[in-house]
Amino acid sequence: MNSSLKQRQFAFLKKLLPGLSITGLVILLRLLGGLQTLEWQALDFGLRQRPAEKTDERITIVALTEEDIQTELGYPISDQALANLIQTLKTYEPRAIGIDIFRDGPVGEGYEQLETVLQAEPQNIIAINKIGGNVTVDPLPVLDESQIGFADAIVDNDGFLRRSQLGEADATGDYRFSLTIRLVEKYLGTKVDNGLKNPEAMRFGETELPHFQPNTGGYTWTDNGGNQSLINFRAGATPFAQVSYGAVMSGEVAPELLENRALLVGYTAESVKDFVSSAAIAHDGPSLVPGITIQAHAVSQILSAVYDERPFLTALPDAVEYGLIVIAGLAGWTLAKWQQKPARHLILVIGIAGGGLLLCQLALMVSWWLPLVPLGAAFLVNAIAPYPFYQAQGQLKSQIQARQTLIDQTYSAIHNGPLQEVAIVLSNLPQANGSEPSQSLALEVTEIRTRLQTVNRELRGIRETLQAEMSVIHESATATTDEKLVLMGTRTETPHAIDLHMPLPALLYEVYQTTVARYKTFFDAVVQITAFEPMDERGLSLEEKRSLGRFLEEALTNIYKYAAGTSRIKITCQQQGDHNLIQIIDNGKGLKPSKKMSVSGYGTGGYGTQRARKLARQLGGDFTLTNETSGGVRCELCWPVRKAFS
Amino acid sequence: MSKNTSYTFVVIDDHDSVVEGTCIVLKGEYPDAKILTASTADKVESLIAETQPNLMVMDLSIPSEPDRESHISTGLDLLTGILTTHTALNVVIQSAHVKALIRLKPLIDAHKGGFTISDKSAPSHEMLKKVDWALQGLVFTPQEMRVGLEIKREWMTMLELAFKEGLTDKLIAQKMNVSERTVRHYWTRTQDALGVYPEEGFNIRVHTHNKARQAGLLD
Repeated sequence: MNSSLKQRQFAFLKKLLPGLSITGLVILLRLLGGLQTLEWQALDFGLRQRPAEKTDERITIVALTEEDIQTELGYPISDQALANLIQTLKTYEPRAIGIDIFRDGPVGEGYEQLETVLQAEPQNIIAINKIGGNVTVDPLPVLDESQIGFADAIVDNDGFLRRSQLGEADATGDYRFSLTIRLVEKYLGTKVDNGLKNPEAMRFGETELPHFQPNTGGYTWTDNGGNQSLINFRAGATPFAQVSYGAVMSGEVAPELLENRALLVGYTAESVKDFVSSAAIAHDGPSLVPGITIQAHAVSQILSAVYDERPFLTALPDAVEYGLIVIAGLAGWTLAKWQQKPARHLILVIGIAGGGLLLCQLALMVSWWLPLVPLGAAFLVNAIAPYPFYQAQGQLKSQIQARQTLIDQTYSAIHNGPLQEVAIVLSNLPQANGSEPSQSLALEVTEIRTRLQTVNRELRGIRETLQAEMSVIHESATATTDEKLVLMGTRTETPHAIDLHMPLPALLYEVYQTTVARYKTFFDAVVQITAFEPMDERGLSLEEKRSLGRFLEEALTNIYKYAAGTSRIKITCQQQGDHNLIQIIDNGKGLKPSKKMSVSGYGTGGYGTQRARKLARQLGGDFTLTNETSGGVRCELCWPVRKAFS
Repeated sequence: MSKNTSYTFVVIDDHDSVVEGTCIVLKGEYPDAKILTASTADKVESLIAETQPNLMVMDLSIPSEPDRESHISTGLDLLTGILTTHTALNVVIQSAHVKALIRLKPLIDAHKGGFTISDKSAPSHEMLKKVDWALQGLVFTPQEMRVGLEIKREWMTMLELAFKEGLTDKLIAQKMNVSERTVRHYWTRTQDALGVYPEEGFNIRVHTHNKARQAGLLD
């Protein structure tokens, strides 16, 4: 019911709109995946910048190095050599051994020995298979189901690996677990279970592995087939102890590096090409990382979570992320609107952006992945793009303010000087009564009085003229968002705003009411015969309606200013056939072509006339200003109705 | 006007004491009238739609709902709605803020029913007079709502036909191509513009003629 409150709320929203729409574009861009790569890169960079964690004491990588291949192993490693390696490793009593080497049949000598080794108690050896993609690789048939984990890697669209595939259905529809999960099972001696909080997630004891969603963090519409998890890579230059095949076989390895640990056996030799791209690990930027290292990170994050409660990499819920983005956008927009000086604005923008960046990095250090890129984008675009616009608007406003002050000062100078003088002269003029000695002198005095009164009124009119001009200027400076026609009220009243959406006759009626109220003392003595009839306003823009309102205002103001002796006016606003008409007729003293009328008069090409002519041209109609035969002036604007679709 | 006709009145005011006082005064003058009351704007539309009253006495400053603050804008919104939908309803506005009504002038001029404004602080017989006028379909607006004398073109035509050519309402209606009812509507509006109201023992048409001549309308 309370319309003024609603209007205020609406106006407030309208002011917010530019900020919200810029932010909306950022959000749209993110939803369409336009920010995804940037967000990944930001994540990788942030992960790389974390301080080093201590080397994981539960995992050791047993690497088949380039040197091992070159000197004694050859490629691929024979069953014999692999069996020997496993046997040697088992003498140190590790908790589990993961063999990250594809093998689906005998290679070289010693297959039977390998079979025996794989089946020997404790049965803690896991081998890999490949279940997805174009080529699948089966495991050796002797292996028990609990000894098989797949080694399929999932790589993001930019070619980098950030996720670990934990479980997935194979081609025949059977659900399979990854090497990571199988190795953790053997290490912990427990089976993987369904989550309690989220039944779709995997769980070891109390620890639930976060279940990757298509829109987790910076990802958009990503295939989350099976069960995946982001990898919270272990930070630092040496996250894991690594020993070579050669060192193990020659007994040079310290026993504590192998005893009671999860061992991961795989190639690190460059010639074997078991590499993936990662930008989150290496200290020297994006590079190729051996597959075995990635496996170690994936296993390590689970074991560290179980034993040390090391957090997994977690993103905020989507709603919170987008809420933060809107807030960042509004913060930027508020800053732009604040209109600080450019240098200070820049410092503030950089300072706040830097603070935000630091905050995001601190969050990442405790494993929260915040949407740094969209937050930054929303803030920066909002803080920078509209800034010049608001700055220009602010300058314009202060210019207008300065002009307004000048007008007020000028007017009060006129008011206190010449006008006072005129008033004094007027009051000192002898009254023209019968006691005057000379009849002609009396006539002269009357003539002087009339002229002085005209001077008085015209001087007073200057202020109104200037005020009207100012409001036009002010309007054109702010009109872009304002759909109102603002008229000056009486001197003590605030300006009166008229909604341009109302029908034209109603709009013109309000203009008429407001304008005659402004010059109440003058129009109180004037009979006003009015007709505000329906008009066909199809095709009229709000701007044109505003100009039509101004036209009527100006016409009425001119009657007050120039049409002395007016006692009756006739205002007609109506449609006549295929034309619309606004006509104002007074019965005042009429136009005096010889006399130059002042700045805004409709007399001899002042601003007012020019504006009226321009409006008439724009509407394809005519503006006429003529003397009535019976005295007085007829001021008329007539324009053709715009037919729809013509 | 017969006071035996059973009228239905609706009284709207946010102060219970004012509602009560108004009801007592109205009961005194119209003992058979059925008087309904409302103190918030949200009830009024349905109340009027259901009971189809002859007259509404209303304060402009009312709350939109119970426990809200009273606002003139609420009353203005409500009045705008009522004048638009119930064009024949007779309305008495009890308010000290008549200036706020200036914006509604086009609606008031177009309204078919009576419309009078009564100062809230005026004595009760003044209020009863405004009620009586409104029931007669007359219009009364205070001078401060006007600047000079505004006469609609069609009122002017009517005045000329009546006083220059001496035609009856019936003939005026024929000449102007409107109904007689509309002509009577023009008279009430013109009389309000000229400040001519019914007075015991005076002929209102003669009064109107004099005022129109004084104002220079018949020159």
